[in-house]
Amino acid sequence: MTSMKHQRKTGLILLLLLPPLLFYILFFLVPFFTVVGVSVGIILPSEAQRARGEFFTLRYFQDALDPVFLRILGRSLAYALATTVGCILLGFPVAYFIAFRGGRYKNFLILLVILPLWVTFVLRAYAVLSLLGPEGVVNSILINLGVIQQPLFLIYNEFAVMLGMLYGYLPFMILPLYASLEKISKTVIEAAKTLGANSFTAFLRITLPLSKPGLIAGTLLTFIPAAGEFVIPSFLGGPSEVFVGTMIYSAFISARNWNWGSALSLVYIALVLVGITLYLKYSREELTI
Amino acid sequence: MAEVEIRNVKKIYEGGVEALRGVSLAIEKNEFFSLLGPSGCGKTTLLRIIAGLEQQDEGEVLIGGRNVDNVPPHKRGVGLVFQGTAIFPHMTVYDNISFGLRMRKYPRQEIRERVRNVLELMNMPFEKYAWKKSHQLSGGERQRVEIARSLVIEPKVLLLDEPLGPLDLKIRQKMQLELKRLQKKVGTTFIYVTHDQTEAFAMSDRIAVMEKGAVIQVGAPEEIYRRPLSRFVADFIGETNLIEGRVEEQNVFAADGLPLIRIAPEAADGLVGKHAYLAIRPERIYLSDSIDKENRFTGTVVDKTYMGPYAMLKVEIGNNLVLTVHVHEPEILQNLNLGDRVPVCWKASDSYLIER
Ligand SMILES: Nc1ncnc2c1ncn2[C@@H]1O[C@H](COP(=O)(O)OP(=O)(O)O)[C@@H](O)[C@H]1O
Ligand SMILES: [Mg+2]
Repeated sequence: MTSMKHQRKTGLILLLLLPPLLFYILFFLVPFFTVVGVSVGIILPSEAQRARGEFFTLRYFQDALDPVFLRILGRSLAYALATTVGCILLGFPVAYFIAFRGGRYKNFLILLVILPLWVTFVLRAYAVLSLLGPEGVVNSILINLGVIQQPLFLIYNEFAVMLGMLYGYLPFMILPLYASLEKISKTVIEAAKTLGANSFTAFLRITLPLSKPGLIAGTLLTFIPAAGEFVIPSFLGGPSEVFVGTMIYSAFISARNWNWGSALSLVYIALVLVGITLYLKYSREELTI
Repeated sequence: MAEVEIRNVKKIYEGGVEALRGVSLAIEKNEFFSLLGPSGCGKTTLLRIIAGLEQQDEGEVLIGGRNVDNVPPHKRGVGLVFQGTAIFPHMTVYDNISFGLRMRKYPRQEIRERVRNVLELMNMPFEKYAWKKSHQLSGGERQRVEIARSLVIEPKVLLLDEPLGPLDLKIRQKMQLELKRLQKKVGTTFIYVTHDQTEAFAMSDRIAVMEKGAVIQVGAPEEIYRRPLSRFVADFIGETNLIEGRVEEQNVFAADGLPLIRIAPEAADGLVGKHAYLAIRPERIYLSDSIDKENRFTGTVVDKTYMGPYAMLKVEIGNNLVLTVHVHEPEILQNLNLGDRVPVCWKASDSYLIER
């Protein structure tokens, strides 16, 4: 009796799991292994490879590990890291303020944080462009005020890319940070004060460690997409601001070299994966004081 | 000199809630002092003001004779055990308890020693508990860690805000005794907040009864129980029969529809000719007509509830006046049925008067 009941229950769970499982297989596993296959030339071998009669080759990875690409990869990760750190520095005070001082305006303030996300990324990149361009808002104001004679070159450089990245990813840092700060009970912080901690120490020893889940989530949510970003650098960056995303994009679309593009993607994924794993391993470790 | 002195403290929260309406108290050194009152009467607010977590709008707070109004919480030397849990969830028991000592930069060895001692005091073996995290503790253990955490810094005053509130009755009673023992042992001034009168009675040297942001009576438990000064206290502290009427003479009380009632002459001082309540505790009323009780009536049993150690009877003695009587003898109870006529009596000196 009970085992039949149990079996029926298991059956139901499997049934419920089927759609997401199918979705996952169809839209993640299949494409992923296709990319793996393409990257070693098992699928869609190039003309040259076919001419050499190779069924399987690591040649595309050799191409992918080219110093030029590695430099671009390194720069992407550095930008992503800077974006993440910048988002923490800018986002923490905002999240803190909303969580602890927001009062009844909390929901409204969070709405303001989310609002930019309702507009597509491309449009927002244009917004930065029109703000910082030679005839943009900033330059017009400065010229009209007589601060400068000639417009400043504020776009197509590192500064614009950095600004665009921060602008684009800030909400993804603020939201998880806010969620975990919001959960901290004020009495815990007050308890630290009655035990002899001043406000700063209480923040360092209590608030900050307790906001760690949000900090970790926010870091992942900004770092990973920021590393793969290609809209912002292509809109706001100069010719030297080529990101991994741009590179992979052009490998597939402009160079039409899918094998190479796939290999590039896999190198990038592997690197990010290693980084994230290390990060999670160390950030999860207990904060001992 | 009082250890903690509160002078005419007033607090109005944003939104206009008058949480404290001029509270004055003097709490002596090494005293176990309780603030007793229904929820919402301002107990937590008063503790938070003493701890420095809230600023009063008027009045002053003195600790050890010194005005502390401009002293921040972390410099007041006051421990506070919060209502609900305030354990540091990301730390072990050891880190929780040693927090205050680390803030004071005690040497490692001494910190360990003190944590060990205070855990022992709380009946929590060091080896078993020191390295546990808060989520591995039961409610009672967590509460004890919070008390230990506040005690270990040797505060001049320890404030406890309904610390046993979330615990089961059995553990609560056990902890009440433990806390009392602990307080005598460490000799710290305790200000203990509770809305449970039995708890306040079991533990306190003195009790302040609060109502709607004001202290309405301060005294030793026996004093408050035997001579409540207001109808509110009489009602709030245990159960009391209140009979409305007028003090006719120094020893005579008149209530509508009842024969004259004898009262103790000293109870009527200053009340002769005035309207008042005559108060008599249910356990001071007897179902007999013994000659030595001055007040003897006959009533009808209208309700009977078995309470375990005693039974609660409702007896109507005329003019819709129903008295609550506690009967401790099972023999009497067995032969009683609803509607029975019974004799009811009490001694004049067991009753007292409350001004209206
Ligand atoms: N931060 C606050 N803001 C506004 N009103 C408050 C605040 N804290 C408490 N109150 C109000 O003040 C009154 C007293 O509260 P409190 O001191 O917590 O009472 P108790 O501890 O006796 O239950 C209550 O009416 C409560 O609603
Ligand atoms: Mg309270």
